[in-house]
Amino acid sequence: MVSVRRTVVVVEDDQDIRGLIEGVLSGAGLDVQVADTGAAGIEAVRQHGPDVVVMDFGLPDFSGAEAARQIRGFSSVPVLMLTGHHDVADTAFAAGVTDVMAKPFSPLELRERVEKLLAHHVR
Amino acid sequence: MSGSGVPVRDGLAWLSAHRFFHELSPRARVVLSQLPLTGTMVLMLGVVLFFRAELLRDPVFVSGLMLHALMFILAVVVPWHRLPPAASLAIPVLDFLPVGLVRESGVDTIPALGAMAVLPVVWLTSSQLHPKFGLVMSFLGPLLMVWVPLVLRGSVSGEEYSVVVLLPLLMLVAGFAVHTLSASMDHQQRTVEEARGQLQTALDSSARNERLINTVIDAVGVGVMALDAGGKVTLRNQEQKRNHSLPHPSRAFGGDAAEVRVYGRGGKEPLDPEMLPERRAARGEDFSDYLVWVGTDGKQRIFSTSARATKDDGRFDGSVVTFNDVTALVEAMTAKDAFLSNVTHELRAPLTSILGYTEMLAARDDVSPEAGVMLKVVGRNGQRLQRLVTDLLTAASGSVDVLPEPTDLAELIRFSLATAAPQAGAAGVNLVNEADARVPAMVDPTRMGQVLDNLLSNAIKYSPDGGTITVRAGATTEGVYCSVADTGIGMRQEDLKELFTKFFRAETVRNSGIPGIGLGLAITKTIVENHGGTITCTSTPGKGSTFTVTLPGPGDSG
Repeated sequence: MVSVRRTVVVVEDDQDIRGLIEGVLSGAGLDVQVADTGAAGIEAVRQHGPDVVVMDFGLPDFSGAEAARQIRGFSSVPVLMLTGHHDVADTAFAAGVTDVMAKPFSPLELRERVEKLLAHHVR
Repeated sequence: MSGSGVPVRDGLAWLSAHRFFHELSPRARVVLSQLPLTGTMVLMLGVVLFFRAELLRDPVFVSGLMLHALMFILAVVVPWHRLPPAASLAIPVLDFLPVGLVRESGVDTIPALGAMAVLPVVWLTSSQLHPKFGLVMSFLGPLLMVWVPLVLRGSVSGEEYSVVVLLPLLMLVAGFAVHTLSASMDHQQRTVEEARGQLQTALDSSARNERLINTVIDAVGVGVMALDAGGKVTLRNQEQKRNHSLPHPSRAFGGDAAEVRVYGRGGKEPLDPEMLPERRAARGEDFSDYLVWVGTDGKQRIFSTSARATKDDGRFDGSVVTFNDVTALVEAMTAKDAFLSNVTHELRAPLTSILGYTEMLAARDDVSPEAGVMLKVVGRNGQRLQRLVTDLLTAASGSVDVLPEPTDLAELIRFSLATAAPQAGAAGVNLVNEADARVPAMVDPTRMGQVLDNLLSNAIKYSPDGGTITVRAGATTEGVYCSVADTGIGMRQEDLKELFTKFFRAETVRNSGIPGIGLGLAITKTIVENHGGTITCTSTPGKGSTFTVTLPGPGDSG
């Protein structure tokens, strides 16, 4: 059995936070693909077929929930939603998001949550 | 009292005559009082002319008539209004003289002539001016009337003097009867006049009160509507008329419910007509701050309504409903919450980077111990900023979700105390745990942890000179309690009332220069109340404060 390097698509418009997530997840041995808008994120998921998606709720073009809904149109990849709004969890889950994490988050916890999603999601 | 027992209605019949007489001029009253005697004299003269004409040749009889005529002229011409009222009594006193002369002359042929004396007697005793004088004169006048002729005739017969005394005695009795009746009538009149006066005063006062109440009701900036027991509108103040005439809320209050567009629950769901404030009030319900949204989008207005039923002998007698237009207030609150929500959300993005990178840096092996200490300071302050942001966001949303589950409160307390230990150590504050070893409760562990952290952090923060913080917890008859007592700066009594209000900071706290924004306790209270619990505080300035939380016990489901 050949061990394939797992891929994550990170959709986050804030450059610093995007860098932070990228750093955490590449440190965990993941192949990180980044996008800074909802549209670009959907395209990246379509293109790379990642094992997990980490996505911000507040994106410049449309909400993370809308992006998740569109992704669900063609993929069952687990989506971890990051949000600074504490009350969007219901909207997010309704859109097919797998897990929600509040901002600001601990990098260590982010890594654990992503690894958990990967463990449950068998390709 | 005989007077007070007389119903006013019955009294009015004689009262009108009585009043009529008393409202006349003094002259008219004297003439009117003299008129019965004059009339009797004229009648008697008629009888004499027809049957006893010979009497007209008696100078005594004629002088009696002339004298009475003079008396009548006097009654007419004397300016009585310039004299004291009692002066008019001279007429009835003097009347005894013509009556005496006429009687003396004709008593043998017309025996009843003496009875004419009863008329001045009635006048004297009914006037109530000098009752005792009137009574004395009603005996003395007739007595002189019958005795003086005997004396003038030189009679010495005791029998003659005695027999004629019957007339003065009769007159006295008659006078006494008239006096008593008249006094009773006067008393009745006074009673009736008093009652009438009181009634008028009460009416005036009631009219004045009504004017005052109407002015007050119109002056208040709140719509006021009164309903009768049948739910019909009996009063609507100016403000409510304005509410009523607003283009959209028209017909809303007290109109045809079918046409009304009134909404409940945030202005989205049409309100069941039976749940309209005036319908609820018409059913006798009491309520306060019941919000209704009137009209459709754009021009929708929000009213805070209240109702109080009025009771008559415990029976529902109607209701007063108030409509307070709180549209501007609600809009301002919404704008404020949206602003807070936006601001805090914007604050979270930079915080995410600060905290995230700090944590990653601190985890690296190539960081010098010195830099590690500095990173810890950055991290701690970032965490503090994050807590403030979370508090602001919680306050803005106004809701705290609570998911109670069986939890050992003692365990939560131990954990919170451990978390607070570094802060307490730095502040020189001694933490004492006097909680029971196990305190089973039905609470949300995360939220209750937040409450304990908040109370402990406050207690430490407001003990700038060190001191002791004691945490107690245990079961009560209704559930569990937990208290946090400090020996810090304390608060004034007037500050305790506002303590749990958003953004409130006590005066002692503001003076102390201790930083804070006044959200912690507001959120703490919301969490506790969402558990179905209560939070109270007792405090003495300079001595410290004690916060006591009561919560449902392990057996309560909510």
